Amino acid sequence: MHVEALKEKISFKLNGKEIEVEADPSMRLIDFLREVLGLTGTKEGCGEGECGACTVIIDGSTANSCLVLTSQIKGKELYTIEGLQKGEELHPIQQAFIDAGAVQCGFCTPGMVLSAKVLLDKQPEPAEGDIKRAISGNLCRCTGYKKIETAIKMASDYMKKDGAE
Amino acid sequence: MNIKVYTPDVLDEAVNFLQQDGGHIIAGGTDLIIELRKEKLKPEFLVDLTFVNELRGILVSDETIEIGAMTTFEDLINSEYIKAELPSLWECAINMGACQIQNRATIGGNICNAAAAADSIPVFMALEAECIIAGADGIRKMSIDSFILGTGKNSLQKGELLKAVAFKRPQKSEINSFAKLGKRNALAISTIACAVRVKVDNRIITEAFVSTGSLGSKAGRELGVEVYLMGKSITDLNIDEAAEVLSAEVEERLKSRASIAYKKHAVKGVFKEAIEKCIKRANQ
Amino acid sequence: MEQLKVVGKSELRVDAKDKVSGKAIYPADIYMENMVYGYTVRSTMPHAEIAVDKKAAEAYPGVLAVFTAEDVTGLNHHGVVFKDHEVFCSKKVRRIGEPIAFVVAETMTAAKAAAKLVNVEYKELPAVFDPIEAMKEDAPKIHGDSNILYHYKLRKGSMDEAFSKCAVVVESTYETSMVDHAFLQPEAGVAYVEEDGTITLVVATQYPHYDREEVAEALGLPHDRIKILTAAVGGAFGGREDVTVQIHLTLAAMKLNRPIKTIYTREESFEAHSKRHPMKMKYKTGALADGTLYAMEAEIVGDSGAHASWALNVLRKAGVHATGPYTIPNVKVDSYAVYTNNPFTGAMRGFGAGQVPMAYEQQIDEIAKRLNMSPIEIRLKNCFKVGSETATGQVLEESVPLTETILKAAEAMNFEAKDQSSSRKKKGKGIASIFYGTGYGNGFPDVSNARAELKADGRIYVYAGATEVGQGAKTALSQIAAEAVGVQLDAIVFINEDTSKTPDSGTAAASRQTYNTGNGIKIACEQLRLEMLELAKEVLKLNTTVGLRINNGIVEVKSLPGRNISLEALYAEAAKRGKNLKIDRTFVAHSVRMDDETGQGAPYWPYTFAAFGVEVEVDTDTGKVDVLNAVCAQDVGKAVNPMLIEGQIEGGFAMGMSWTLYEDLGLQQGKIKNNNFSNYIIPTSLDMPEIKNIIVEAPESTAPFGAKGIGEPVMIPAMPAILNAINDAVGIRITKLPASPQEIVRLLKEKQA
Ligand code: FES
Ligand code: FES
Repeated sequence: MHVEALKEKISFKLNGKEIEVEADPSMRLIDFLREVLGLTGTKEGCGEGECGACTVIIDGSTANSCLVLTSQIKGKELYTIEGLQKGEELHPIQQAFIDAGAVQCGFCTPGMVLSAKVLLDKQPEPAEGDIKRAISGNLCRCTGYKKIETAIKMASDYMKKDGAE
Repeated sequence: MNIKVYTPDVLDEAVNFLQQDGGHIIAGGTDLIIELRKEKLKPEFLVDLTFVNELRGILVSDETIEIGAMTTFEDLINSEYIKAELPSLWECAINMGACQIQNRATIGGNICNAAAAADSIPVFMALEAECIIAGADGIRKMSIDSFILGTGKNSLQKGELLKAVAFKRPQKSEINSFAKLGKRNALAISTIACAVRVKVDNRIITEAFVSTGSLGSKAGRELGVEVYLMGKSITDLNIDEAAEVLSAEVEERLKSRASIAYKKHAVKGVFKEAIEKCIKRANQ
Repeated sequence: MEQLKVVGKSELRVDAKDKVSGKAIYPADIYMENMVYGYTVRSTMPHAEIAVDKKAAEAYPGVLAVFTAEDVTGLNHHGVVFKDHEVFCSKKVRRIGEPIAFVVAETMTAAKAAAKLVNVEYKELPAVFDPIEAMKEDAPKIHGDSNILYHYKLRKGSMDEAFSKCAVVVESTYETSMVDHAFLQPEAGVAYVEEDGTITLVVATQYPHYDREEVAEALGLPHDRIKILTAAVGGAFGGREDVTVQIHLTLAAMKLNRPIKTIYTREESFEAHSKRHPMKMKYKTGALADGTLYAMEAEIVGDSGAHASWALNVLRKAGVHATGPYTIPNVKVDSYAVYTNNPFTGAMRGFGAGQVPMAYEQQIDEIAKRLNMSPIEIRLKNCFKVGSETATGQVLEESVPLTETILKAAEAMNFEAKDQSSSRKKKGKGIASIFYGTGYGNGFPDVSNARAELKADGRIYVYAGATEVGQGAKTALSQIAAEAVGVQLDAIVFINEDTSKTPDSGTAAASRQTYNTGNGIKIACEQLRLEMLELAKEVLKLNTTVGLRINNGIVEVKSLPGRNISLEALYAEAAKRGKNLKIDRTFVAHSVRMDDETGQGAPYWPYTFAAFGVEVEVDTDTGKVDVLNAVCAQDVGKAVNPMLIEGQIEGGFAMGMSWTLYEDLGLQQGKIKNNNFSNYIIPTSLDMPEIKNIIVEAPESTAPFGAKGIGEPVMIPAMPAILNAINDAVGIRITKLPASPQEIVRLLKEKQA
């Protein structure tokens, strides 16, 4: 095995910062994030693109990081759950998830929050159907989704208020 | 996974890489990466088409529509043109997987994988689409029906890749729609999919194109029901009767399969939903 | 009663902030210096004698060790009731997926590659997959000389002529399906040896103290050499009761003296943990002409798969709950647990009480139909009320608000109103009511220990080994503690993650933590409060503790708030006096063992009740069922935290609906075909109906502030309610789960013919 031989420099923007890392371009993005960069907020629930626990944001759209190769993110702008809060201050979506009781075991939560973020970035005042669709690629076994939907509505209000200030 | 990955920026470069032995294309990657992880595929190198911009986009001209192979399902969903004029394709896109998949999965990948349940294939079949193939010797074209050979099999030769699909731009008199049955309302692999396209003159159906997916090893046109539909009035179409024609046709074709007892029944519901959408559109 | 200040409020979860920010640490998130990886080799045959050769695997580059049965340092077994799992199979395998070896290497890739080189030679044995077949004398035996590992008998009244007195008798056989917990976080864990020799195991479990016992016995280690740290748990639902990674990891860490980690893939997770018992249920129910339920006979056979796990308790619970929440004077129930070569079954939300409603709720509906009564009327007529006697002879003296839940569910869903159906899509409504007995049951010591301590920072530290599996235990139990001491929620520090610090509070299962551990915490905290006030009285030179209150971390005299002492200062005063403000208390739930021949006794306490109504739409062409609306009326005793309860109800409904309509392991000859989320279907946001929650309170006097456990009862009525709604829509009776589109189309055709 020539592990080293296959590494190459990969540069992209991660959580707002330009970075350049040596990596195996055929590594799954989720492994790259967790094992190489130590960003363990991205979770693996299935490895098949079916659960959305590994959701990240690439160029403003959600993606299952278990179905992306590291080669595919060159030059792109990536967000993981770690990039949402500013210091100790939670992003309004994160706060809304707490306030609405949308978190139980929490394993789906990072992915849910990121799916919500992409939705609200594109549609600040989503209709109920839009919310359901936006999280339909994120499985949750605990909540039945209702409180998550409420949280996203709440987040939309929080963000509107934040914007108005 | 320790596989060499080439990331060409232009089509020629991509085709060049593919001339070597042992390579495999990665488009969106939503199917391929699973295969790689399970070691069902062990290519020596990958050609990642992510950065070949000329492969991505929807080209609408007076006569034809051309959709680049690297166009994602999300691109289709976001296209106002597709939404308005090609609801069959739009509905297929929005019902495919869920957002995360729609954002990554490509038309080219969906077609080339040739899964029996690949939803875009019956849609393109009903549109009589052509596949545009690029290789070392240039471009060749073939109908999507002959491009798909069976489950997991397509007509690409070594060193070739699918560049785009193209089809005639729908005329004013055309209506199209899509319906699918899955085990749940998102993240669902089609149990049955159905695409319908009809040309209507003075409320009479003059031409009909019906294709189904997930019935048998490859998607295909359903000629019996097409014949049935032709000449009928879209206003007072006997939908139940049409569905029975389709059901009988499907039963005849798949009679040896265990799943047929259910599918011959269920296909009626899927077809009815698709044709009802057409009728509704005809009435608008 | 004084007004409650913390209990009853929708306090925000204490663990939510870490979870929304991605900082919560699940076992797979731990990376340590010098860490190695383990991968499990599992049996590929359902029943076979084996011979294992590991030489080739040991020689693979990067491999440190390959552990098999011969390497187990203690007793090569484990199991929650019977020790009938082997840590590694020694001579024979009894199911597909049983661990045979654990390959440890420098990388996971190397471990997986070497695992393929572990040569397992199988000599196939005849196997049995149908529990009814397995009960026969000449069936292949899985363990010992009978496959029947438990038989519960319930006898009440007399069956002679009981049915002949009935105006209507319905009789049918029902079959529930084997399903998976499908918690979102696959099993994972890390083990390492600390400097003092303690082996620490970080794992997501429901019962850390029991895991410690299992590990200690299997490895022949004293308890105090093992420390279990509970990481964040990504869902459990009963599937983390039996050990999976625990012993393998501890063994490897001990032998290799390096930190070791393992992570299961989703596919492996399906093979590794227990499943829900599928049950075959022969049911016969009769009623008098006025709709009074008069007789019931049931035979229930539960498939335990290759191991016992909780089969006795599950089939006992099924038997006790077989009548549903209805008074029936003449009852005969037999329930059996049977070994087969299927995947093993164990605890799963509902625990036997969840399967039987498929039969009793459909039969009561059918009886109503034949007597021309409404489903509501017949339930109200027969359902348990205060003073009712259950089939085991237990008298329900208080907190039985079943009538209220039925009425409220019926009203909220406008039950009698018929909705418009199209020609191919038919709508229907259904209702189901259930009961659920909390706790281990049947006289088994159901013990929760808890400790409460005032510390130097003026806060109350509560120690209990009650796991937070996502249900909100940490929050709800903190609320109970805060209320009992009389402080705000943020003055409570709740510690439940470390077996070296926490007392054993029993398992986070059987819906028992709120009631049992809640009680333990409450009595410890009340005593702590008394002792704190006693000391304050001394320090403040008062003649009595009457009139003392705790306000914002300060103990003060009600009418003279200037006379006060902060909790920090109180701690210092205690320390000065050499006094420990630390209270340990134990709560034991009451449960009376049932008679072996008649099943008479008081097996569980308390009982929780619920009634759900649903509306469905059935596509008569495709057989697809959409659940449009749900109304969930849930008895809670007293709501500790309404928002948490709503979350439980909604999640429970989703799980019940999923079981009813979607989930299917595709089991063939003991092999799970549907072992990932692409084919093992659970609902998405787009599949869920609107859900209206109705929380019904009827405080239970023995419960902490009246609160009963609800984790399981909230999922149970979903299945029968949906099945009754399908019947209302298209007139078919589902007798086999799941109610898949295929099954519905088959039954529709059968009905037409
Ligand atoms: S882990 Fe990527 S979608 Fe499940
Ligand atoms: S909170 Fe547990 S999976 Fe969503």
